[in-house]
Amino acid sequence: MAKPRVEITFWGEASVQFQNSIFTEGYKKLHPEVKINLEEIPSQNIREKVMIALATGNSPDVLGDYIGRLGNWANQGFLASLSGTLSVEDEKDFMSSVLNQFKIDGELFGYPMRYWVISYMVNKSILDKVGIGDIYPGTDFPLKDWMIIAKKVKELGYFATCFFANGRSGDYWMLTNFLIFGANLWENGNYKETTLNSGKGVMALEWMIDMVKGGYAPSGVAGITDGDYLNFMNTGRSVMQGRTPGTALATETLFDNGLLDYIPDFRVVGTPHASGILNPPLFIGPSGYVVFKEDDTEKLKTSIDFAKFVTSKENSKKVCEAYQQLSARYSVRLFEDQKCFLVAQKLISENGVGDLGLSSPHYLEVRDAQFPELQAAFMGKKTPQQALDDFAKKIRNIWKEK
Amino acid sequence: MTRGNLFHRIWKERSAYFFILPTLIGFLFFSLKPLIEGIRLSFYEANLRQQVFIGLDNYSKVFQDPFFWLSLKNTFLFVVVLVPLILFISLFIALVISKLSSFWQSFFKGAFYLPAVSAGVVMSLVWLWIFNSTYGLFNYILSIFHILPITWLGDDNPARVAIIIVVISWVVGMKIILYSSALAAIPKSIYEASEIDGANSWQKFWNITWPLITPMTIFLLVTLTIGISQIWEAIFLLTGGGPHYATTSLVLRIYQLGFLYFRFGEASVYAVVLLMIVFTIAFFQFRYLNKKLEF
Repeated sequence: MAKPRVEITFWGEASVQFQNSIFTEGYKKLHPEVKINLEEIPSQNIREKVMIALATGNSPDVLGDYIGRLGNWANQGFLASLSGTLSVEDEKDFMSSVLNQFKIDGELFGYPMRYWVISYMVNKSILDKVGIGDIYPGTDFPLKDWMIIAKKVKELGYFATCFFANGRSGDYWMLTNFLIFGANLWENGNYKETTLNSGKGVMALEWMIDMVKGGYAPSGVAGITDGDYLNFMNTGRSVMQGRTPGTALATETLFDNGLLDYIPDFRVVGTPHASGILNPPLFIGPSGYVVFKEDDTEKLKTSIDFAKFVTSKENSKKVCEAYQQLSARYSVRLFEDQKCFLVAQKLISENGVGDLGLSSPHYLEVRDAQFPELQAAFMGKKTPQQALDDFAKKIRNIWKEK
Repeated sequence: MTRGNLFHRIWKERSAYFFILPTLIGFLFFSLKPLIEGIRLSFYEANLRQQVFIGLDNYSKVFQDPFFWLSLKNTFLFVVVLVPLILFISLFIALVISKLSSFWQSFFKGAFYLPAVSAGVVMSLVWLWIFNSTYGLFNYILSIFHILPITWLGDDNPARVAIIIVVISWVVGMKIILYSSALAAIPKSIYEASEIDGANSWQKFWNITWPLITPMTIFLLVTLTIGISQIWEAIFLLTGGGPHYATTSLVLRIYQLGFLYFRFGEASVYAVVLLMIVFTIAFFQFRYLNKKLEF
């Protein structure tokens, strides 16, 4: 067998839904002279694994991961610039709200593939069960309607919603509750100063604490994990939460696995909004593929070509279907018969996308700093204002230390 | 000893040195070198891209950091509570099962050792369910006795108690096996002689069993102190250091600073401080508790 002309290493996210070998084998057919060493890595280990690889000079050539982590490598200068590598057709085909998250100071550092969207969901089966299916909310969901449903479902022993603060991820779920009161984590792309400690943010956190005290949400929020948060709705204990539309498709699996005694009807609705707050945006979280810097120009060229191949229309469709996530490409239309996805897409186009600062320089540290302050507020150790002010102070310190 | 004598002695005992060589090489490369590297890094501002010598700046920064003192306090608390508790529980269980037939002894040893060989992540999921304040097993049991639910992982002290329970369940199996072997090594004739002299159970334990298992107790005391000082896995998986830093330990902080924020210099300062504390405690434990013992 002839020696391959170029050899590259590709790290893909290990997943039960999808085998990355489809990419490597597909590319090999087109380029038999290229050898691709594939390694599939569980997402919970990928941050440490890449860090150790970088520290020892063994980084992969192409990496597929969540933007929250990819942005970190880009900000530290480890990634090759991909600016100018997209065709005009591709540039137009990628959703700008997704593609822009893969840019730092206008420089493209990755190719987007898929994204989750956090959309507010209700368990319609429970609303029907308690006899309020007729006030089932639509894409406009005023908070006063939310409260009517909350009171009704509480009377019958259900939690209206769930909050959590024992998290290392899932920040977007909790931040969705801030959107209800129009409070944003960032404004105008200024990632050095949060606006979460504004009056609106404080009001949102006070509301969440009141909901727990009133028995509308489970107590012990400081100890509730993101996994518990999902379980509360999956198992029919809580009725309204920020989720991903794919959840609606997973209910049959939950039923088959005996986690539910019925197949619940999960529906996407508009994010609730307090009086005077209009069209709260939705958070999205893209995943994509990046190329690490490389002195060998041929290897770099091949790596970029491979990353482009991976994120091609054909592959995007396969991956998004497997992950039950939306494609970053306009041309890849999926789940058109699934109402949850259609409503979520409609809400994105009407309300826009919220800024989580996923590719901002210190996103991961900011995320880690958020939960302890929420814990303090839910435990009553700090007032909501103190907790959010301390969060803002931490962000300033993170920037100062860097 | 002169250098010539030393080499002569090594040469004379070369077969013994040959057998310890693999372990020695492993120790040099995987323990001693990282340790020296860690000490070196503590004097550098180090991240993934560069290392700049900054003298004692990292030390001064860490000592002024409230998280350092908080994590030190939490670690100290875990050591003080967990070490005696684990020793007591494992000795108690070892004593109880030592009276059983060999079949039941093996059964219980295996049962208690099971959590140690199970995957930490899987075990943590089970414990997260057990401690869940709404639908967890512990609160369900409490509700049977009309006791109000506890927010196990959502409050300072219950979260610490939860960590202590989990660590005990993970650690105690091995200690039971070690204590059992120490108990089995005590000659039966000593107990028989004491029975002839009319000793009761407590007198037999206090005057025979306890002194004869003291070497094992000290070994366990030292290794447990070292092990619990490095507590982090249960914390990482169950509370992530929360609620509001109530369970943040030194090693968890090392992990956060080093692996999450790439502040290797500061993480190394924590590691150096931990090394010095553990070394000092272990030194004094061996020095003062060990002196009347015959191994």
